[in-house]
Amino acid sequence: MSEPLTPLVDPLAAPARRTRLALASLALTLAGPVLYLLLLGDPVLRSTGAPAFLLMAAGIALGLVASRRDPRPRIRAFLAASSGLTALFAFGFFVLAALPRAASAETLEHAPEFTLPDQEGRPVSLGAARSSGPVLLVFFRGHW
Amino acid sequence: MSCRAELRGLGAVYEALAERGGQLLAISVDPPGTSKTLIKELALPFPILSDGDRRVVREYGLLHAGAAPDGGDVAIPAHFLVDRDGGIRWRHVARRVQDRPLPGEVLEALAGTP
Repeated sequence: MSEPLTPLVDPLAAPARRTRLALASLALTLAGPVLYLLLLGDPVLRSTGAPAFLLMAAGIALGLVASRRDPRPRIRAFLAASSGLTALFAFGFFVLAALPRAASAETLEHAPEFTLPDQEGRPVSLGAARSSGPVLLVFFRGHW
Repeated sequence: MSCRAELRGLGAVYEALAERGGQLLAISVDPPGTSKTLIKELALPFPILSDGDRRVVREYGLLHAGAAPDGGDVAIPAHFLVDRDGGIRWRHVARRVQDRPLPGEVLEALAGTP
């Protein structure tokens, strides 16, 4: 390690470094949800939440390391904050975001016919659209 | 949670459909004016249809009552690949708000659709 020697001599330096480690663990945990929101456009990351959960797990692991090395309550508080944040994110991801089961949508065999206005108000019918080739219908929740 | 991010990810699917003479039709319960702004903002190459009275959303079994920020009804996010005869060849119905199909899945289903 190429650490300067002075911090090892200074009795205050080691606790300060461990505080920084705990701070870094919380920052890592926070990066999870932030990254998730930034990468919403990617369907894999969006559906699985993998990078967010990995970062948050790493944050908790680092927080555990920090609190093992240093029993001060403030170090534990960082670990508790990381754990709480992860629990909150997981709750939102799995529980709050759950949708009602769309049983009939999952068993439809034939696409019901419709005519709806497009963004200019022009009528568009599924029948006309599918006469020239396959059609992908994408129902989405709205502009927000 | 932004529900518009997914629309940007549909470019490759749109192009594959266009090559086959097919179309991508997005559907929401927003009024046409709102969709027009969204298309301009995101430079979307496909139209967004407006199902203001939720009739089509209901017919497809996708009504999610009271789920909009203003308490209105919206659609459960879903994709249907429809062949020339109106048969549904492939579908993806979201179980959670953030569930989306992988573009590869859609392209594979498209390759198997006459």
